[in-house]
Amino acid sequence: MRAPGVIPDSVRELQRAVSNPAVSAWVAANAGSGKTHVLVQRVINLLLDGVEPEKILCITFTKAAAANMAKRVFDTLAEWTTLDDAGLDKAIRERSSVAPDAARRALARRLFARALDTPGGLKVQTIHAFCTQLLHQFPFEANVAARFNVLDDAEHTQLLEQLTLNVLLEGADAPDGKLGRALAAAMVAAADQTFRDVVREAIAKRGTIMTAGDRDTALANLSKSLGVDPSDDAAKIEAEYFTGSLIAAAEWPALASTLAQGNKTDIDQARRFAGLKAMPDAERVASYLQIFCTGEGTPRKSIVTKAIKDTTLVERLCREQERICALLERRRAVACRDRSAALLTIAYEVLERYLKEKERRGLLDYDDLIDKALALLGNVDAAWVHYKLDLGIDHVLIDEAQDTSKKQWQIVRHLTDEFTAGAGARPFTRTIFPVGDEKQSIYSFQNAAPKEFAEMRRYFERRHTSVGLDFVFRELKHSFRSGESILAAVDLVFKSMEMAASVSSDAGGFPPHLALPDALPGAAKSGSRSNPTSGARSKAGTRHSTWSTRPARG
Amino acid sequence: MAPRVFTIPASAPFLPTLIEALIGGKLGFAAARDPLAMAAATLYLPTRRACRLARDAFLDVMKDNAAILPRIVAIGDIDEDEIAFAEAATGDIAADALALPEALGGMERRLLLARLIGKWATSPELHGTSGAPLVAQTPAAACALADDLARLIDDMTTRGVPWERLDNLVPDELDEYWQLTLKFLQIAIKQWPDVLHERGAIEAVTRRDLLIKAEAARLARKTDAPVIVAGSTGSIPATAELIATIAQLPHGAVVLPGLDTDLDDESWSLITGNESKRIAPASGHPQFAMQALLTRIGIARDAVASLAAPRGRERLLSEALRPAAKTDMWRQKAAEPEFEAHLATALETLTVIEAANAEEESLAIAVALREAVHDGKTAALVTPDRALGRRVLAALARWNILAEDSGGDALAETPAGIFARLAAETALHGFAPVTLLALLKHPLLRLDMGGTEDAVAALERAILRGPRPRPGTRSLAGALQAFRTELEKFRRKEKTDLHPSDPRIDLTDTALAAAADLVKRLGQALAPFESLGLTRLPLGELAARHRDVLAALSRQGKDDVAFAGRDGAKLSDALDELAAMEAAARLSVEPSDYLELFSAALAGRVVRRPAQSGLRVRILGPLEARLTESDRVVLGGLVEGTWPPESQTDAWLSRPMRLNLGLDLPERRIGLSAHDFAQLLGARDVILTHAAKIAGTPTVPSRFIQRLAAVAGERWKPARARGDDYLTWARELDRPETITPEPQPAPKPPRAARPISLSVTEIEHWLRDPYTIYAKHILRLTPLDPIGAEPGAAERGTFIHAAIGEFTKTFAEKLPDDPARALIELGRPHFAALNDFPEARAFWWPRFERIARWFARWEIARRSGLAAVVAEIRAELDIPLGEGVFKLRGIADRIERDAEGRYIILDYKTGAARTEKQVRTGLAPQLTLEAAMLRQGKFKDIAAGASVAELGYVLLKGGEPPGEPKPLKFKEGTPDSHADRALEKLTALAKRFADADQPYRSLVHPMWTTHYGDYDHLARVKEWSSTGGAVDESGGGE
Repeated sequence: MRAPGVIPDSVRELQRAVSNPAVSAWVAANAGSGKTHVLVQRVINLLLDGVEPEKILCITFTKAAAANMAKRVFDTLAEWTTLDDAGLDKAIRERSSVAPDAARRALARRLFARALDTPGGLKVQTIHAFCTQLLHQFPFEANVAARFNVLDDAEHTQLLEQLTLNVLLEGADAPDGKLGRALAAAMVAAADQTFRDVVREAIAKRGTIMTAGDRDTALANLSKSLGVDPSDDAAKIEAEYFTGSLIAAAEWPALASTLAQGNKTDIDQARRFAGLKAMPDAERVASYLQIFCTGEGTPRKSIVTKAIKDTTLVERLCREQERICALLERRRAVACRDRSAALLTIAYEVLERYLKEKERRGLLDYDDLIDKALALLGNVDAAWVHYKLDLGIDHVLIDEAQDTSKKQWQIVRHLTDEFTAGAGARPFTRTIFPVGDEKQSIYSFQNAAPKEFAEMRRYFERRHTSVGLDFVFRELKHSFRSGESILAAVDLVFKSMEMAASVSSDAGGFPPHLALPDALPGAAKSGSRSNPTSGARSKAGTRHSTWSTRPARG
Repeated sequence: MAPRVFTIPASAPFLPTLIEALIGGKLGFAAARDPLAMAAATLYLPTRRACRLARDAFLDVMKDNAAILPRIVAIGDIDEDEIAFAEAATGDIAADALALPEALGGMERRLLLARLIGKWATSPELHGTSGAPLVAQTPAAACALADDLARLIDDMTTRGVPWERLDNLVPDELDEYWQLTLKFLQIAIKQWPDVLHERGAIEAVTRRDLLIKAEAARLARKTDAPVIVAGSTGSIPATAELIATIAQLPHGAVVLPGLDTDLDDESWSLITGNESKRIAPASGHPQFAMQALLTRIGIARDAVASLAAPRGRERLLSEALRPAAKTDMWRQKAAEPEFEAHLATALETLTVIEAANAEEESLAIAVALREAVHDGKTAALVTPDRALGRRVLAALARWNILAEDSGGDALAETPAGIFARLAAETALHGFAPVTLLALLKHPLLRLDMGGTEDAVAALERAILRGPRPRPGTRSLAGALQAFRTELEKFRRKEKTDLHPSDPRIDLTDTALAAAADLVKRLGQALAPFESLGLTRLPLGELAARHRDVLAALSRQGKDDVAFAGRDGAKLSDALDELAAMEAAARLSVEPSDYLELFSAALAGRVVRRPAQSGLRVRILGPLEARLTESDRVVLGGLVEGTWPPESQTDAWLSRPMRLNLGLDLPERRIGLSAHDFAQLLGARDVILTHAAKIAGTPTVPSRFIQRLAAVAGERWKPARARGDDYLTWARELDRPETITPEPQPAPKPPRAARPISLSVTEIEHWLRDPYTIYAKHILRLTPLDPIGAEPGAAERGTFIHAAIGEFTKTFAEKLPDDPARALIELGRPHFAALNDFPEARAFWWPRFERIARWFARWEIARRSGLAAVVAEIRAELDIPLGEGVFKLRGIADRIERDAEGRYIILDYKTGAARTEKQVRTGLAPQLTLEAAMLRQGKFKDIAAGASVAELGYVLLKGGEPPGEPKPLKFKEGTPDSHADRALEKLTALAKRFADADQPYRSLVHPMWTTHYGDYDHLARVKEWSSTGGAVDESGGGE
């Protein structure tokens, strides 16, 4: 990033306001408005306030961001060790409201080594790294295998591939078994590659799938949601085409000769009716459907032309069409149910083996880390956690807070609720400090919940104010990174209330970005073939955000 | 008498200084004047390596004087793997050693503990609230946990903390949770002592401590001979006791390594912490152990005499590493002119390399080492990071510089270790083709064959590429045999599913026979594992079988080459030990768990390289580097987590709890690491290196470097600038002088080399990407399938085409009663080839069955309107080209004659069909060219001048719907007119390429702008295409 030129006083004032380490603060920060800066500032101010470095937890979204932030903290603190009194006083005043005196200066100069020597390292880390550490310290309390290993993405994929293959092979070896039948049915629905993708997807969404209960319950639910009687199957429905028909088979020849009197379309229909009788069963159904439906399976607009004057007949044909279409609908639902059921059977099997294998080998994947940490904090007395966690965490900072998932917020709440539970229970303040920008949420595929950002702000604000604690909310609008044209383009996108509501639970929409007076010129270009607004809408909150200025997770 | 304690500063060569002092009588007794008196002396040093070096140093100092060397004994130190002292016990204390019970070896102890943990893990009442086991269920996981537990037992034993202290460790209100942990720790508290007792054994650390104590007691009795202990910081209590005893002996002397004499007293006293000021002990301080040792001896720091004047960076290091609680003094120190002067000198010969990644770091180090060699100096790389050491070693090979690598290699990573793992993984984990090939291509594989290379290559080509075969050597044999049968048929020109373009048809009988022999021998060699199935066996039995497997795999005549080398010998020992170990005989495991246990058994075993004397470059671990000297010292891998190492706590005790119990804090290791660092900076010419990223993950520079940089301030920059020079040189090494972009290839082979006959399907390649024709027909290159590929569409297409073709031919006149069943029966023999490839069969057979049923219905309806139908019918058409002739070949999938005598040509597609536009514009001319041949009367029994009423595809994918007719409905023109145009176009094309100046370019009309097919890589498309290789799926070119 370019070194900022002129920083308006108002911006400095804003940054100082949210850096007060004694007060919890919430920052909504536009892209390039100095998020990392305020976070680093806050960490330093906490330390300057005498907070022990091991009591600070700073959650970043990527390992690279963690390394970057730690480096900036250390660089600043290292510089302080070499400043003379006047220089140090100036540096302290720039950041905090405390008046520097000899003791404060000495403390400031010690901070560098003190932070370096933090037992277990300064806790600037991703939530997954934090959860890993936490669980390693509480394996029994958290119901995780002591000495568990974390499955990284590559190992996770490899294990799934292996298990999927095993399931496929077993299915292929016993074609009449449960798996074999499911496999044969599933094959039909998907090409080789898509099949694996479907299984992978099912496993990624295992939370949803497994909450349905066991496989049979899940299948029953599936039938229900498709409006299908669980006992319905394709054969039964196909039989109904003729057993319940309003036009008896015996009538077909007569009908055919009536229709043969009409024009060309009617003659075609006549031929279809005439041919039905001699056909093999399977063909007959298809042929009969053709009389009433188009090739795409939608009802024909007219079954016969105006040339057929027999209105009773026409009316009967129309009613038959209704019946046939309803059956077709059911038939489709059953087909959909059967295909889904087949895939579900296989996905379930893989999933069950996956869970078993993880359990047996003591492996946790990234989702487990969050789930288990959350369960630990929910089930175990907070006092024990804080006691054993090297006696506690007092200050929590969150970077890219808009990409925090619901569960991750719950973890944060567990860690911090006690802060406001009995204010005054501790002789000093404990604080939270989330920084984020809903407009930059690009990890929806990892359950990022940008709407929680404002929701949580209100939650924490309530909790603080209800016990008489201060709570500061500020918006950083100035961008140090981009020129006016780029910022205007972003504002344009998010001016749409619909767009804003897609990522934020705040009703008021977003404040516009402000460019610095000396910002570089820029140009905005739409990244998709469709028009910019709809293109961005489909993309905001997804992996490939056109407007993102953030690097992907490292 | 006052205790005699000395120090040798880091900048003085430790052993020469020590020995000169000893001989020169500076240690307080004149023992050395008399050679016999010297013989009576005992010298204790921390490591065996130091003992060896001390002998050399003695000879150097004594020069030609005859001397009998003192007895030199290694004490062993806290972080040394082997406890040298107990092993080196000779002479007087040998009797004591013999009287002590045996200690349990590492693996045996681990397995015994693992067994207790395994029992605990499976006991139902100890499951968590969710019913999930609280401990991983595999023996390997139990072993890992056993290691943690063993470490805790050692810590408690070493510090002499009784287990009862755990009971009241935690406040009552939190006891509920603590009980969970205590329950688990009962394994260590109750069950483990019983196991030891039953076996009449004691802990290795107990034994070590007893021996040291016995030695201390013996020394205290015998007071006449000189006793010197040097180089140890006394970090183990028992060692500290020994050192304290020696310090009090009349002829005893203690020589400390680099006691910090520069640090001010207040800071010095803060190393132990100060409770009233809420300052925790600085376990991470380099002097932490020695400070405690001096207290133990009962001597003040200023009473310690220095055996040499410090001439190096001692003050800088003392300053930079001072306790954090007093680092506010840095500022005032910096203002002292004296310190400023020291700083200037200390940093003058210090270089700092900040590399972008580990690869760059190792190359820069290699350059620095090479420079030292060039200048006739000795140099050492010291690093705890073995991977870095190996990389540097490899980089040095560029200049044929040999280095002594004392660190050795982990046995698991040596050729023998890898071979052993591959064998077990192949046989016990499903014969994955990649693993199997890695085993077969391993240099230790012999199978008593006298060369396996050709056999392996043939096996790979024949059955290991493409979809994976069924696991097991029997299936391999079956798959190979099936392929050979097909190949035979192909050669006899009988019906077969082998396509003439299949790269495997070139395989010779000799090579295939060798492959069959290989599979047979492999089966015999792996039999001890393959015969296991899922049977649980004792670990020892599995190890014995593993040994047999490896012997058979690597047998050459009478030799088992896997066990021949240094690594092989270690491997053999490891397996034999496991096979003979009682604990392993009692641990029953599933075969699939064996590999992890075997890996655990190898962990920690190191294969040392043969000592090479006279080498100028050495690669050392920090422990081995203690007390050694080199002209240039490179400290590599200085990042947090490596140097210093990670300070991990275990799952049961947190830091405050450990402190409370009187156990060492995890930071203790950081202190030891810091001391190594400070000592190594005693060399004059020092280079510090670290990488910003390792394996793609950002790193944090070592706190030692960060502290030095902070204290150095502005002076750090020149040190970095010097480091940048090495980086520049390293980067320049591999940078070409100029980079010339590769142009789009335009090969112009001579006319004689150009193909004069192509099939209708290949004309599309010729039009779209002529380079494909060049590579396939002129260079004659055929792509091989990837190893263990997922089932692809190509083979499926062949089988389905073949079955349907046969069906239509067989029943051209009249359909059978049950056409679907007949078709399925016809498909069976074709799919039989997939019997040994279950995955492929699983995907394709169900689809084929669906296709067959659909096809049968379609065929019945279709036939009713047709006069005749033929399938798989060949045609050839000569196109005159002035001098020569171009021959177009084709096989039509299906030609029908309708009631009016006109023809319909159909093509079955198991993949995607071409669009009407592609056919109409002539870019997909397969069907139109077939039509052209038909109109010219080139198909048997069809007269010239016939008309084609329709062209079309029949999709046969087996999905929903299983099949689908896709007639081509031309927007303009008729099949006849398009056929004529296609032929004109082909004639023009053939004429153009008959000219030797016409190049076979790549990507002329590709489906996608940046890629086309199998030969893009060969054509180096990514180097010259406009987007620089980014894939653009937007679909241009049509």
